[in-house]
Amino acid sequence: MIEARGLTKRFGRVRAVEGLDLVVPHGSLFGFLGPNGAGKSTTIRMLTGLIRPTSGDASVLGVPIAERLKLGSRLGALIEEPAFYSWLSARRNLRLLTSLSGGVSRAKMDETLELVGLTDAADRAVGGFSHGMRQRLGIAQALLPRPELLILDEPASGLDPEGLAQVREMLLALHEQGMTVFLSSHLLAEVEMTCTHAAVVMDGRIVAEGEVGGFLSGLTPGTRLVVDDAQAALNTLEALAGAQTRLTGDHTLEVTGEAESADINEALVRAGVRVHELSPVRRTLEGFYMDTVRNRKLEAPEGAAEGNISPPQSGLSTRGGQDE
Amino acid sequence: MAALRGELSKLYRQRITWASFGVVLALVGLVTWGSYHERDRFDLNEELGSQFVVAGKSVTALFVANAVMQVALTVLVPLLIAVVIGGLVAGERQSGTLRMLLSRPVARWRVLGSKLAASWAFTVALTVFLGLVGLGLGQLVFGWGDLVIFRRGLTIFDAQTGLARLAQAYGLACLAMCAVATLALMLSTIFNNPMTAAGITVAVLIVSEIVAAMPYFEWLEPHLLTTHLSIYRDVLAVTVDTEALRTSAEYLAAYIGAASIIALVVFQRRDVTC
Repeated sequence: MIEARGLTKRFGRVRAVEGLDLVVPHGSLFGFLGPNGAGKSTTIRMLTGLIRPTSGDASVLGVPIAERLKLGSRLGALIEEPAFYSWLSARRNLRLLTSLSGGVSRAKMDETLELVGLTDAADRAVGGFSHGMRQRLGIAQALLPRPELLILDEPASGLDPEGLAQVREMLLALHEQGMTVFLSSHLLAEVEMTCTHAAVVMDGRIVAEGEVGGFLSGLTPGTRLVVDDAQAALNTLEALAGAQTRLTGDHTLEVTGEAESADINEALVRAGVRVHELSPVRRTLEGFYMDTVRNRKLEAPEGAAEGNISPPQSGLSTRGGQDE
Repeated sequence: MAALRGELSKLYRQRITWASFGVVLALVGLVTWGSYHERDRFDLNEELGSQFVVAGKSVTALFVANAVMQVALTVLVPLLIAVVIGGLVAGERQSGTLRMLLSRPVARWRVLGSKLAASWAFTVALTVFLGLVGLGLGQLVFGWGDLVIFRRGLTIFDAQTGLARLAQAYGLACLAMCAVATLALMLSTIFNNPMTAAGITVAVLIVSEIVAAMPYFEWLEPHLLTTHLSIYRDVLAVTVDTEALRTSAEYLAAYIGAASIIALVVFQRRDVTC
């Protein structure tokens, strides 16, 4: 679906994207993650032809990006904040934007407006739209007429919980219908709920890439404890087989490893440590992401130059300039 | 065609576009008002030398249409064109709508081509509007009559010839103003801010006028855009210098061609980062 090899973009002396390799599988719902300034938007702009790569190449749906016009309406995209002609209605905006690429039927437009929940506002001037409505209209234009691949840059940015849920359900429905969706986002919980695959980009390079399920299963589960005497608990648990313990506060600890929660609790009670709270630490994409970003930041000074980034403690496909 | 329709619909739904027509209308109104109160001063009723006596009404519909052309096309219309056309690309880049447009599967040359065509359509409409309103208001206030021109002496055309000459003059004025519009569009592809594009367009015209007036740059003067912008004046003489007219028209066409090509190259190659 999308393949990028050594994709690089420099703005003067600033390296926005540096040798980025990426494969987005057909039929996936792909989350593109990374901190601000990591190169997500620049990569997406290169994939959609808004900016030219300095070097490297990429293809979208088998078509090199230099020839992207051959894609026709097979590709739909919403890049960053949607912008419209504020004095025109939603419907008129869609008609204008689609007129240059062949136009769409009124029925198709109505269907898409309904899909994004803007039927009632279709004939109102966009200038009076809320942020969420503009966002949904932006997604509507990307969906017209009916792309095989949908690229969305921060589609849920600034949406309220209801709007987030609507976008999530819409993306899942489109994915179920066979559309490949590539989206960049800062909302890790949303990506975790919707995406089948994800990649983390930092400093213009992909540092981790794979199935979201693989990311999560690769993370070590843990147990969070609140006790009256953390030091005594630490001493006790150090002797417990299969438990790696670390203090996280005056009265809190986090235990990872193979030890069962029941065994941890029993050991602490036997040692006279009062346990106020014992809760499993859920494996989340956020946890994976934070580990990845943290490790990258810690090791970047030497590691980045040598293509030697250590992955987080998981069985993931992570990169430091090369695949593991 | 759909692309051009889209561009025109955007253009004619902007307040600044209608404001331009409003300003032109106001100017014609002021010129007509002024001419009405000064009409006695313009009327011919004097002896020219010892051989001729000329008498008659000089302020007519054709007179007003000519007067507003001479007044408006020097500064006002180029300024309005610069402001409106200067925003066609830069304004869309600044507001983000260019990003929306170009992220769709559309050839950039088509987008720019439709903007060029729309800018010429607006320019022609504004120039023709100036003439028609001048004629209309002139007819309403002063009535029909000969075309009297006080330039390099006195030239009088009968009404029919005068109308034909004015039509030719407005046609050439459209060509001249299209050159200004193309320059503004070219600068609009280069700058991110629409006001910068408009300002630089006007600055180019002013600097060109200043350079043309300096004896040192006498050799350059025939090649400057501003030298040929007053091409419409050439047909308002009894004897038309067709050679000079053709040269000016060729220069204007060359300026339009060159500015269009530069605009296309810049638009085609420039990264959309806003």
